[in-house]
Amino acid sequence: MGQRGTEILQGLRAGLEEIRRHHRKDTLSHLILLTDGRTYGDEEQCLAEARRAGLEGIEISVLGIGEDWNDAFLDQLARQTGGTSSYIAYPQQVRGVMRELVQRLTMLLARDVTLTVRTTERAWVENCFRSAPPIERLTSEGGVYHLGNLLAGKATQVLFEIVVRESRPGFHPLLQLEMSAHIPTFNRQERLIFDLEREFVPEAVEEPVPPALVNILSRLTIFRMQEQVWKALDTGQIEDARRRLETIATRLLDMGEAELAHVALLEAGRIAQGGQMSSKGQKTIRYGTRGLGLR
Amino acid sequence: MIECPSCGKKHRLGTLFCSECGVYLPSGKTLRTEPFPTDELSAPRAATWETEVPGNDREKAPPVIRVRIVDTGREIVLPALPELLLGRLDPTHGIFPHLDLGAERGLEMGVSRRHAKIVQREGKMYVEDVGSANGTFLNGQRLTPYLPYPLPREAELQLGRLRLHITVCTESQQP
Repeated sequence: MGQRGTEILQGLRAGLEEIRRHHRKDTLSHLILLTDGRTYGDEEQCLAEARRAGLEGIEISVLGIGEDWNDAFLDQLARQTGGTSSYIAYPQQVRGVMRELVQRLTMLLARDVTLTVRTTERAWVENCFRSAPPIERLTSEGGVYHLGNLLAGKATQVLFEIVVRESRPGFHPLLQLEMSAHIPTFNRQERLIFDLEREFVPEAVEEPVPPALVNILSRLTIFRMQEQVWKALDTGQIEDARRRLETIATRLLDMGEAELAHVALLEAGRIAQGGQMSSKGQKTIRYGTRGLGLR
Repeated sequence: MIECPSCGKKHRLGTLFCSECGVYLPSGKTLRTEPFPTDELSAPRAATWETEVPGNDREKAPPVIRVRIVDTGREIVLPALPELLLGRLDPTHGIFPHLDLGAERGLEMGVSRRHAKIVQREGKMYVEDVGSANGTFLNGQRLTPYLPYPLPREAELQLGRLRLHITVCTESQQP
């Protein structure tokens, strides 16, 4: 735990070594990294280890306890392997979260799920989000989106924001989606292809928006608004960050999320006074807004 | 392009939620933002906040706002100012509302320090929630924050859980 603190890298390596001794292609290997602190100077090496583990099919989940761990870094680390990170405010919650994690592993239906989007000149993807469970922004690598695991009985929702150019009337293809996944039960790779086609008509048609979509978007909007808060803070736009947090608090209250709204308001006040948020508030908002997708 | 009625940010046609302030953009069933009636909003909002009540109807006495706290029966008469802040006094943070509800158990009843505003524009009254924690209700309807709503001559205004009876009257109507 010294100043140079390489504790996470060493622990991570030791854990992965142990797992590799038993890891086979047809087994499920998962490492749970439990931490309450920061690691200094070895972040890049940790990420490299995680990337390697991900390529070998070993998944890493991160459970961060308390306020002092670096959520952005550890979240990135888990993502390298298709795993997730969770925020644990109190040590008493560890057992419940661990149990849920292990239970989720027993429900595994498909692994390495990817969505490949092939665009046409008529349409392109502006944004992509996993809307449930936890909300997260998905970024593509050359049109390929990594979704991680698919669990039995738990739907994964992915939301594409697609911009469509005006076209002459008639049916036109917009996008092609290809889903690919490994099904461990049959040790087989599955592929599904879906062509998105739409009819263009000369007159504007105003179709009602499905309420389910509106509901998802209302929560996703808050998630996107909090992304803007971090961006504003990173670039030193303190007043902008404060204003955004206050707006988030209002929206959260409208949704009945009083507790999270309260945290957002408190943190807005903190920003106004000292120019920065508390570590705890930051994590509560980051993970709280992700969790909005869980209802 | 459509414009967010709350913050003014422009969005592509078909956008459902404002990415700036989270407001649901379509009003009603259509995907278009309904414009405000032009007689209610004739000038940009920022320019009109600070302006005085127009002087062309000088023969009419300026209105006052009578506020009755429903639970206690206490009555307060507020002068006609272009902008009236309702909330709780907090001198350390420089919040000095025109109507301080701290004495009316405001904190307990969920009144924010900066809760709502009554604004006058071209002789008309509007009420606006200014991002209160527990919301403002006009005759039972929750107000979307930062949107001015026309204030009728008689209205039930609820700040958090504190109920106020508001009467807008001209000086001549006073006893």
